Amino acid sequence: MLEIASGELRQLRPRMQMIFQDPFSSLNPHKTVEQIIALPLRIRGTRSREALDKRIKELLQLVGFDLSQAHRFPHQFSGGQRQRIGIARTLACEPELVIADEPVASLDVSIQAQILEILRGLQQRFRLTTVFISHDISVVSHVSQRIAIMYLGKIVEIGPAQSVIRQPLHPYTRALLDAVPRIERGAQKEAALLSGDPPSPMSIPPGCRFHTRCYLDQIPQCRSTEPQLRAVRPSHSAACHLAASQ
Amino acid sequence: MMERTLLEVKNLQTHFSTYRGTLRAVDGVSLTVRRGETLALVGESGCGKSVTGLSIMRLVRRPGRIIQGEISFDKEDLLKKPRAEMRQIRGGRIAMVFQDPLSTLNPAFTVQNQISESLKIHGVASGREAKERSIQLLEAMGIPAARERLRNYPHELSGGMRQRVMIAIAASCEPELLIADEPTTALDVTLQAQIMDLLAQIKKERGLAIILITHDLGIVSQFSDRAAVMYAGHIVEQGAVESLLEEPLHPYTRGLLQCVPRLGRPDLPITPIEGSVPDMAALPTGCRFAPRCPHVMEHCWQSMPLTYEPAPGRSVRCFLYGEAGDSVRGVDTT
Repeated sequence: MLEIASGELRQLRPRMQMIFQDPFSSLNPHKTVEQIIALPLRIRGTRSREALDKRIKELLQLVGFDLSQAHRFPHQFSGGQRQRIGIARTLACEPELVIADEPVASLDVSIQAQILEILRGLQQRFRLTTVFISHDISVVSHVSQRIAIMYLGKIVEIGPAQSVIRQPLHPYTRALLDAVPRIERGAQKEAALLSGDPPSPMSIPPGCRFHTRCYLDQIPQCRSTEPQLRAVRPSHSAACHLAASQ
Repeated sequence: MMERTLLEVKNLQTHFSTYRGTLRAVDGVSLTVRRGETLALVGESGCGKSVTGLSIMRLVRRPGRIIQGEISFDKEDLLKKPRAEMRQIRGGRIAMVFQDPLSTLNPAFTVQNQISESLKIHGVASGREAKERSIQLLEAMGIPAARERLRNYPHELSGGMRQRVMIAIAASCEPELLIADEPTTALDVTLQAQIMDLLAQIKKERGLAIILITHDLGIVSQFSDRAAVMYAGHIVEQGAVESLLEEPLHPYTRGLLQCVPRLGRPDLPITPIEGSVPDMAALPTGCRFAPRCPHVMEHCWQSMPLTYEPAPGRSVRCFLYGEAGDSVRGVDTT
């Protein structure tokens, strides 16, 4: 994909679509909801008014959007409703791959739950492959089968969702999990608190990029050699020199 | 209980006049904060939790106005204080930490300037002494190389560091009450844990009372003693954190708890609350949660529930726990 020409890439784009974080800036304020969803349909060759209307109606129903409101403009809706419009537009291309970039980060919890349920329903119904980008590990654990944890531009751990959450391999993953404030009072672990801030991506530490904040007993390689992702358990890998020995 | 009441808010009403009509952002809120305790004020955007905080500080700006109510702080009504006296209390005995330190710190002044300003205004220290105090404060906030940091401008600091500076300023005059409005919402989860631990530590060391405004039920659970849940300008439920989270009474609190994905519990489904929050300029006549409530009854649409006390220390504004009576407009007596 990185090598094909931009014209060809445009041919591929309908097969992969994106849901954005901010439903305020990702919808054209000059277009009505209908027009926003009609555009990708038109581009893909649906021309007749009836066919367009029918498809727009189907798409809006999929995301639980009130059809009688479809002639309105984005600014007339709340964040949750706007996010529904964005999802309907994404589905208009019948994509195989959806990249959802923090789709619920800007929403309140009660609305967040609505959108998560819609996304989960669609994922099952259309067998969508989804890359769900999020900073909220509780949300991620709820919607995904596999989880990849990133730190300073690299994946430091990747594996089946439950395995990553129950038995994290990388010390950063463990710190992330411990830092999440739990509602169940007894469930809070003694947090492995990370000190300091993440280093600047302009000057990534040598060796393991996490060693400046790591709380494990480090070995000399931690500071000299960059650890590679390797499988510690079946289909569960981590980039840590110490991962296997724990 | 030996705890003494530090702050008592009674029937606070803060409204905003807009061209669309009057917005009842805070509509009859009553709450108490005891010395040394943390009260969490929980709710979603627009429920009035921040305006409640600003009202206590008397920082509500036009078109907002405190219409009525009583805010008694250490037995004195803040709403009756002359401005000059209020200025001494604000930042002195009551301090506030905001969500976004980048927009609340002055970009044109150094850290040293901003901490010293507070110390000077409140007559705590000035000159060389203020500088030494600033360094001590930054060190107490866990900022390494504090002396060098004093010369920095806010943009030169990281998000976590800025929030520590904000807390240093808030703590500088040894306040009795700290109002923390979403203090960690702009931060990563690992930094959030650091900042919340810092607040907990300050609270313990200095016997500070905290009003913690947040939307995160995990933070409520881990860092507060009591909680008040707000919905559309009302406190709908109040109580000790354990009992409130384990046995939520109000249908909104219950709904909220079912919305949150729990870490490592894929067996617990999330159940959204249908619909969305009401338009604050066009509120329903009866209970404000009625349009979204799974237990809605006939009279919920007609009249506003009062605040009932089904158990000692628990209060809830819902007809499931009391009679309709003559309430057209609920008046709190908690």
